[in-house]
Amino acid sequence: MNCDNYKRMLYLSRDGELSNREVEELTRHLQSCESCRLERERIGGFETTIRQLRLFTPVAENPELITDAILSSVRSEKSKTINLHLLERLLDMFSAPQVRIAASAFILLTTGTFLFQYITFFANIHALELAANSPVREAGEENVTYAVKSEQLQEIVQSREARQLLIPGAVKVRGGEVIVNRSDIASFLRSTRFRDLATSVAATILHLDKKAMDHFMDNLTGNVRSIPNHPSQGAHR
Amino acid sequence: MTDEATRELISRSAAGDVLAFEQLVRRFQSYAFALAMRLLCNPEEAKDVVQESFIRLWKNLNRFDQKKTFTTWLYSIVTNLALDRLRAIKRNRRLFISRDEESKIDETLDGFDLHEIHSQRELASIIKTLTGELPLKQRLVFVLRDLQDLTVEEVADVTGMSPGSVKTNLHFARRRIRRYLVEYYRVGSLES
Repeated sequence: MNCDNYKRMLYLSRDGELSNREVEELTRHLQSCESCRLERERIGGFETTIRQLRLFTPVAENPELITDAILSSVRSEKSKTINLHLLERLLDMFSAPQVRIAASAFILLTTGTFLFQYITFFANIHALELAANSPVREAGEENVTYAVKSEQLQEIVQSREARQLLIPGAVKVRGGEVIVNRSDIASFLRSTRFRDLATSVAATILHLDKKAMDHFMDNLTGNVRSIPNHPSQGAHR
Repeated sequence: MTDEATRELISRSAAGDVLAFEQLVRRFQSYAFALAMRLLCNPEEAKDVVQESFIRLWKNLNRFDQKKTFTTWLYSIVTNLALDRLRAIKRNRRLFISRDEESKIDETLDGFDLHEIHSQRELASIIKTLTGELPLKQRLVFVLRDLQDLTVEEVADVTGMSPGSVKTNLHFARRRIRRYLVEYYRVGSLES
């Protein structure tokens, strides 16, 4: 080993920086090398200076302020963590198999019911529109008047709302029956006011749910009779 | 090794006990500040790094390896954050300060008597003059070993270097600092 290596070792003379073998080698070399001995003395002065620097420990001017700032941030972090834990627990609860199945069933049922009602409603509207667009009266066909025996229908056609919306003279009430001329029905169904009437009646007069509506329709269809009359008579024109 | 009382404080803090953490902060804050100050040579920067270090510590208490020393763990957090700052400072200096201005700044930092250090500012100035131009690795091992008085193994633990690499960097750092001492403070002499 040459002097450069030993001089490198001189910089590593604090406890534990050199192995026992290296210390022994260096000691032996120093006994025989004056140049390295001089260098060791110079480095010794350097070490004393560094020791002085080490003894002066930097201290914060206001350590309490630092502590307060740390604890304040930690408390705010903690409250954030608590909120996250609550959210996690809530999500965990919803990820339980029985809750997931129940939630899926509820969503399917709700969506299914809504779709069923939606489709039924539009199917009925479509049927009415088809009826409205069908030919009213073929050439030479008799003009037909229908009599419907229904207290509920009587109540409806005599209501203020219906009187406002119906074509004047289209519907009459006679002898406990509602008398409607077919041509008037057709023109009534064609009229743009029909939809308003249907909506208004359903909402403000009937207050019917689906079951009650079905019952009402059964009642109507079961109590209709036609009254044939000759075109010459022009009974309801 | 971490003593029993500190270990107890760590596990209570990890369970969310802020009062236990407060004791931990009070016990170790001064060590963290001394290291941050010796690395950054700026009290405001050091204060910020200490705060950030303890907050990071709080968030990661569950990851503390009980076999390791708590101070080593704390020092590695402080060191990493301080190094990030030093790198950012160097980048900004390169971007915004010309070479001439930089040398003017450095001139104002020396001129103190090493044997009569009276204030934090003087000490910060001396350390900055001695270590400011060192590569970051050399600066780090010098501060940890010679100023913070950690063993070579502890320095290796904190920095993630091997003990051999710590010694190599230490040797180069001491050699250069010795030269600065002679040049700036007329302390000692170099090999003729």
